[in-house]
Amino acid sequence: MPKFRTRIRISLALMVLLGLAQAALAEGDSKASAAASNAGAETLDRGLPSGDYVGSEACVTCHAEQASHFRNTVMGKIFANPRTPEEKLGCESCHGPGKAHVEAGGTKETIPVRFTKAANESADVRNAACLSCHEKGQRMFWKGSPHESRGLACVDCHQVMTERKVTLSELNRFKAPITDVEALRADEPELCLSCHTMRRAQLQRSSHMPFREGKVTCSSCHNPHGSPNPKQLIQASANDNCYSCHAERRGPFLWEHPPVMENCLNCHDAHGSTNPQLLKIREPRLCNQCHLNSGHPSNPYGIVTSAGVVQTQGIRVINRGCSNCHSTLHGSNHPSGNHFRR
Amino acid sequence: MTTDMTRHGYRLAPLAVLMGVLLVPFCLLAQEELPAQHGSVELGARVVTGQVDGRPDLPFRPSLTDGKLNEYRDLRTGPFVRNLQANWDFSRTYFALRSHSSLYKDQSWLAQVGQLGRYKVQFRFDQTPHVFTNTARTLYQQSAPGAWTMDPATRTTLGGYYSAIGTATVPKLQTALANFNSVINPNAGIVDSSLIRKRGTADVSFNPTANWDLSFQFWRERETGLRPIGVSISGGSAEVPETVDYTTHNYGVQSEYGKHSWAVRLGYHANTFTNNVPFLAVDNPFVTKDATNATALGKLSLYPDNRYDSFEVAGATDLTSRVHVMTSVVPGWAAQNQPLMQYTTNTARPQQAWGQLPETRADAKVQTLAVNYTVTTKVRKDLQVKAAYRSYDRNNNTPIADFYPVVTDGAYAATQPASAIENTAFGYNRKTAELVATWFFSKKNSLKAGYNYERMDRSEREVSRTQESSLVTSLDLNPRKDLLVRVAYTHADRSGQAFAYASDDPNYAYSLLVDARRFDVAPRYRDRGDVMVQYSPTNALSLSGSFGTVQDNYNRRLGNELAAPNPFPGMGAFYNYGLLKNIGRNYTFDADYVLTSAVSVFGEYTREKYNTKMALLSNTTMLNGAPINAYANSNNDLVDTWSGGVDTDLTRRVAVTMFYSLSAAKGNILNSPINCTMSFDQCRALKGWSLDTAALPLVTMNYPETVTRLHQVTAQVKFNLTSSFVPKIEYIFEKFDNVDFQTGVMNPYTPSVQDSSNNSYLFLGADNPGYHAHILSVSLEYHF
Repeated sequence: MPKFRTRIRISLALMVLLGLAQAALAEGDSKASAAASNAGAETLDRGLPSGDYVGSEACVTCHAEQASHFRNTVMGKIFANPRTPEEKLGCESCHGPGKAHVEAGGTKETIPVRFTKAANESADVRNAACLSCHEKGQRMFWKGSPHESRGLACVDCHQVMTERKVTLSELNRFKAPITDVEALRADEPELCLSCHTMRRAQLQRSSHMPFREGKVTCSSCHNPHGSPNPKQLIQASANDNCYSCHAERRGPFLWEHPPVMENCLNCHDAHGSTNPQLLKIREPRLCNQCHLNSGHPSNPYGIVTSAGVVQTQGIRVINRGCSNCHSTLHGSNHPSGNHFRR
Repeated sequence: MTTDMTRHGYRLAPLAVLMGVLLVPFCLLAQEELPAQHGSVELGARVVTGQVDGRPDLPFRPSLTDGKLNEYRDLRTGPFVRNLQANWDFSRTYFALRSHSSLYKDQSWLAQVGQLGRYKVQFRFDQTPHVFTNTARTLYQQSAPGAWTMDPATRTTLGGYYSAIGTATVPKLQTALANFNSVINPNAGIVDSSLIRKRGTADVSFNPTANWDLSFQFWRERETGLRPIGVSISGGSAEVPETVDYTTHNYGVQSEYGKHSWAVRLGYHANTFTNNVPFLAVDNPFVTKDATNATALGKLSLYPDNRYDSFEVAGATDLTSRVHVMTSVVPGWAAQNQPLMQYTTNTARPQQAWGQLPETRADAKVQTLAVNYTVTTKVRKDLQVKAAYRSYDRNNNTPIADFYPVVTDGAYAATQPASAIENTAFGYNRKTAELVATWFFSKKNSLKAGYNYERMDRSEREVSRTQESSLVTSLDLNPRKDLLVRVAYTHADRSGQAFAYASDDPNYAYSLLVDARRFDVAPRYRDRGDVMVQYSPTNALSLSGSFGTVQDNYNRRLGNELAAPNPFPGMGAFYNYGLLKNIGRNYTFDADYVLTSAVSVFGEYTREKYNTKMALLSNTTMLNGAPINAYANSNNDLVDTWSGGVDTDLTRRVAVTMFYSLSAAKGNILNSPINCTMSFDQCRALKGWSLDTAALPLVTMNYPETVTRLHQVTAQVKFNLTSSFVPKIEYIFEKFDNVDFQTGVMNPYTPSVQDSSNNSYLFLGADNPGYHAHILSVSLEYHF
């Protein structure tokens, strides 16, 4: 197995190679766009003559209400002082060139890209309009991500042109964390729960992280726009995600408990549990999945007579079960901590 | 003890700081132009009443607001500021201040100043309380951070009761229990068993050009408080409040540059964790002087300080118009170098030469490396293929040394043990490869099929390599605008090498007799299926339902399985010991109906069923070639969740909502003997057990059923008096029921428990008893 530094070098070299390949393959495209730029084209090259764009002023003559709303959105304010060719296009930046629409007298079918539920465009077409500006940042790994490959459109979760309609119950059932993210159809976690219905039930279980209270939400751990990591996690592994709030459990420890260091989700259900400490199964049975050995009784009590009468409680079962004594099972730094008792 | 004044001042401090920081740019910008100003504030008063009714046996009434009701929030009687929002918009520059639960323990603040498309400066402050229990009591006092001491006279008394037990019998144990409680109940003090996190964050992002983003982040978090923890002490253990005092700092810088066809990102992150109380020192509640069989003081090593640094290099590019490549490389370094404690605190056991620590510090080091390469290509307009490779490496470079750990301080060996034990420096490497094709056979319909491969290499495990192959398929159908159907199915097969337990592994003895496997590295079949249907026959009605299942089967004939499979009640034959099956099923149903433009209703129901089956052993005794004390264990959890409600706009000025939810769960742990046709008395005679010996393996009893139920009813009326004044009245009823045999048996209060090995243990009695609460609040939302 190559050493750590060698592996980093190999990985980075591969990235550089990809970059060079991109540069070589894109050379032809660059020349074409340079030529277009030299020609002073103000519009985007979307395979359409620049004359197909009519300008936002033409749109506003009929769509004054939408324009008025749009002006007050973050996008609208940015478009008021455009920095890029796309932003200069205004309405047509997202909806495509409007010449045909104007000439047809304003029929819906002649709008190149529509975003309403009734629109017939595929998610790919609609998303392309958004991604022409928003391809960086959290969307870097959008292509091939679970939401992309299953046909979700940006506008399934985001909205720009319409007032958000949220019922009182939606506002009150789960508290949303304080955020500056606007233009979502509903606040998290309600937005995500509209499809991930089972998670709603899990969040209501007795043992839970502070989802309902608005201190943690879906995007605290997941990037719905895609990530290179499993389950669209923000961090490189499930444990790295957990360590972002529980840094004390990161170790590394003198004595490590391998299933713990490998994956917190071996024992915990992050979305909620009916068992204490978000455990998947109640102790001692959780531990019994691996530790079959004696000392972990087949009955719930310490002393049981032959007649099955319970006399006293056993310390291996009551309270927190095994972790009454093995209390450092996330890892121990004590030289006598090999059994995670110190 | 903090005074009310200082506490109040502490709550106001973050607000004052935030306001001060934000007022500077605001004052500067205010010179330029008159801003458009708007926002809202919601002020009100709340009454919280009710009581903890789940533990009438306790000798005191636990506090309602210091318990489960406020697990992660702060609902108290008194005035409140629920929300605060203020925005000042200049032509391009903006300034915003937002707050939730202002000045309460669960408050959040967010302040921003920025220029659209240019820069943003953001400050956040979040507090999160975490209440563990309202029933914890203890005889201990904290004499210094992390040092829990008990009055010597009390320890002597408790120790006397302990010594009087002698050879344990049930009557003697019961007498001791009563004696212990006669000391504990009148004298134990209530423990505020809760933590609070306070995190302050500063984010600065800057766009030098439209294609270039730069961002900096810093946050600092302090987590303080007490939570229950067990401390093993020779001669008598104790559960005490763990003193938590953590400080975490995080630093990050990131730069990203991108154009239409490519983007590249570079980042560096550092995270440092400091535990201001690195160990607990706890008096033995039954022993006041060190002896050769017991120690007077127990010490527990808590989480060590650590640091993690990582870089991120990520990029995405269109190689051609049809091929898109994404990649990321994230190397990281984790380290901790905490000084090591001694093997034992027992001064009656003189330090031996061989008992010197091989290292004075842990010097633990781990390198991580996450590498991802993903290629997506549109082979045809309607066919997308994705190929991905990922490697995650946890390379543990902690030095391996020989230790002579002490299991019980009283058994600290006078002569050198035959063999030393090496510390465990666990590492692993996970490689995954994925090839998936998605066929978009019409605009909104697609079929996906693919193959996933995963290889895990682990150190310090009894199985060093496992491999898993998965076939994945999914179908997304949108045959009509009002109907969406999604179906997915995955079948996975994990195989691995034979188990090779180390001779000091507790499972070693069993593995010589039968195939004893650990579930996370054991061969396994996994079948996962999901179906979701959304149907909106009219604009007013939408219905959705789903079914999902994950079924893991570990019961596979591989290698050292039982010669003759045993019958598992309700399952059939089993071939190995350990976890055999893990099955989860869930069903959901949602309906939303807009009755009129003013009235809408919703209803939801979810049922979740989970079952695990395990074959377990209590010891290695054999009879006629088969274990006589094996038992079958079946864990069943059933969770039903109901929700329903109505939203109405009675008039344009009055909006009302009412909703109810119930999460009801019950759990059963069922145990039954396997492969033993003998009677209890026959087994007892065979083993030579006395009548009341504890934990007789063949006395397989089901654990008592556990139940949790959370009912919540909410009614809210909102009056839109004017566009500026919106009064609200809200009523919440919450009822929580909790039946838990593990914590509910602690009666009388804070027991000392004896078992067959004559261990005494002093518990805190931490429980989450049921409660009911009425929360009435009246507030006024003012928009400006």
